[in-house]
Amino acid sequence: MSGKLTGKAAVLPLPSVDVLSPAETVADTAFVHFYEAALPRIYAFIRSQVANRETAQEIVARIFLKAYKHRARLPANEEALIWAFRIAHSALVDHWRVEGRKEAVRVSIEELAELPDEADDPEALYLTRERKALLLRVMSDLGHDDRMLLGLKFAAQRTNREIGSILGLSEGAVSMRLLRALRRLRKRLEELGVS
Amino acid sequence: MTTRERELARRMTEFVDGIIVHRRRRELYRRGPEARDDEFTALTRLADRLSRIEIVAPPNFTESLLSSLPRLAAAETEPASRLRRWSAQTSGRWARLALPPWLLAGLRAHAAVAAIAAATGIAVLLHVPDGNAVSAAEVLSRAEAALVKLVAPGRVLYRRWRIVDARRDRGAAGDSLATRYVEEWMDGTDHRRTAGRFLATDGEVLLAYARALDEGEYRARVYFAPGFSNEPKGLLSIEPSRREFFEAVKRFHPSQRPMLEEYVDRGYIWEPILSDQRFNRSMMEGRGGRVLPRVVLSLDPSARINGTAVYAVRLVDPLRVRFRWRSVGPPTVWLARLETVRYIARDTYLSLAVEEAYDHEDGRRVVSRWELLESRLLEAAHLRGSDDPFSLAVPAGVPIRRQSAFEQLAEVVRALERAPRWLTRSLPRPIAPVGDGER
Repeated sequence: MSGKLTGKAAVLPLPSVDVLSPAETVADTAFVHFYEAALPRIYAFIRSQVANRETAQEIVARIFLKAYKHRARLPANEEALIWAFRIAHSALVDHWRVEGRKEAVRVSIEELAELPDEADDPEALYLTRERKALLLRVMSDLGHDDRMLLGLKFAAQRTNREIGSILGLSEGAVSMRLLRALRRLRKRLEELGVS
Repeated sequence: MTTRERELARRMTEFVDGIIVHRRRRELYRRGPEARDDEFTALTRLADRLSRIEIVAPPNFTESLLSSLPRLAAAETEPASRLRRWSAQTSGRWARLALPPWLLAGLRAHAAVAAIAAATGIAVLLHVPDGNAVSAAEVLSRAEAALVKLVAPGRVLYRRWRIVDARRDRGAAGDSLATRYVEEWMDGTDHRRTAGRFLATDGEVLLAYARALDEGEYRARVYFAPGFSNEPKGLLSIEPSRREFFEAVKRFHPSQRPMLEEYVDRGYIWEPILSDQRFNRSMMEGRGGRVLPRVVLSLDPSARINGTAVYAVRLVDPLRVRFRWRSVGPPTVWLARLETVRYIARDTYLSLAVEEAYDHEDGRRVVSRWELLESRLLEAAHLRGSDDPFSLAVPAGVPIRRQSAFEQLAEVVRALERAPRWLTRSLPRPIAPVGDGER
């Protein structure tokens, strides 16, 4: 992520409309398959770590631009996802370095998916999603290492082995760090009186 | 062994391990609490809750990014600025700027905003001026985000407004003016926990509102002081929860349900801070206008108030359903036409003033001008005892009534039967602009 804007920017034009479909625009089928598999998990991970939707979209765009430029070296199968998460990890570290401070993650309930086994009562559903948004916000009170680990585990749904590959840790170290991160999150929730 | 076989073996192992771990956990729970350890149980519950959070990428973002990648990659020069431009085009035109000097020296409300930013270390999200590119819905959306962003867990947002009501009854020669104050609190740990008070100019509490968890759901309690709101002895009104409202909707005829759902969804039932947010969301997500008349949103991006550049967001709701709880009998429900102009600072996205013009069914016209006097962040831990706005202190002898959602909605249905006649006779009477009139 680049630095902050320090002055007033010019009026921005409206987004251009692409006449071609995304698949026609990006001719590389393997990359399209990779993109379709990776984007939802990468986006969920990044969004669980940054304050707002706009920042998440900018970082995700940066990650996939890098992946697109290096698509010729795209690893096969699941390794491609690990590779993308390594890029995401560095992009996030860069973002935090530039930001220089922690920001609370504000996820609106519209950004959260409705799970099939959740209540169909609109009010209950609303409350469930509000609780999830609150949990994400409290998670962002934790240190960068903890929140990144929890994000990789739960938002990105990565196994400990995969997290180990992404962060350069052993599986055992990931398990131990995950336990400690969950403990700290629990403690923080208790401090705030969130049941 | 081929690469494909290795990959298949790995995925199969992961799948089978997943099933086995799940079975082991169920077995542990079958063996009873003595076999478990409390910390393990608490952490597994927490992990379970975390695993049920699924964040989704906006579909338009997913598609537009894929189609833009070749263009972005081809732009060898200034990739960062191009990417930022693309991101800004896609998701709004945001940037972080330094607080402008006038913010520190301007209106009291501005000073309060700056104080909040300084006290909390939270940079206020500021906007890159972009002419007419911003829509009214975007401004409301960003205003909501800016407000929520200010309140961190463990803190409480406090706002104080001065309201001048100019009331003119049908046939009256002039307006009668009345001033009151409204205080609002929102808990940063749980934004659904809100409180509010209406105060007379001498500080007497006319109405106090507190919304908090009650047996697992959020419920509001509203205290009306004796003599206020046609209640000679006062009233403590225990309001239905949103779930009860939605449950009550199911008891109505299927043909009536859509309009009642939309009524509940629009947040017409006043809650400090929250009802505005619900209403805005309902409008921005296009949920309004299915059954009830559509609310019209418009924007004047170049308005000024007290010399400050603001967005003036105008909402015209031709069919506002208003009601008043009572200590005896069903609530009184009537129709109104509401025109609201919300003045939102262009650089902080925080509301500075609001004007509301109600044209009521009985011919009354009430124009209320809200001016933000104070906006502060308080430490939640310091709000105890008599300072805690979330717990209502009600004088002895005040009647208490648990209100019925069904009864209220039944009155809403009756009132809406009058809607066609009301809509044909309530003609638009726009509010005269206040502030500097600078454009």
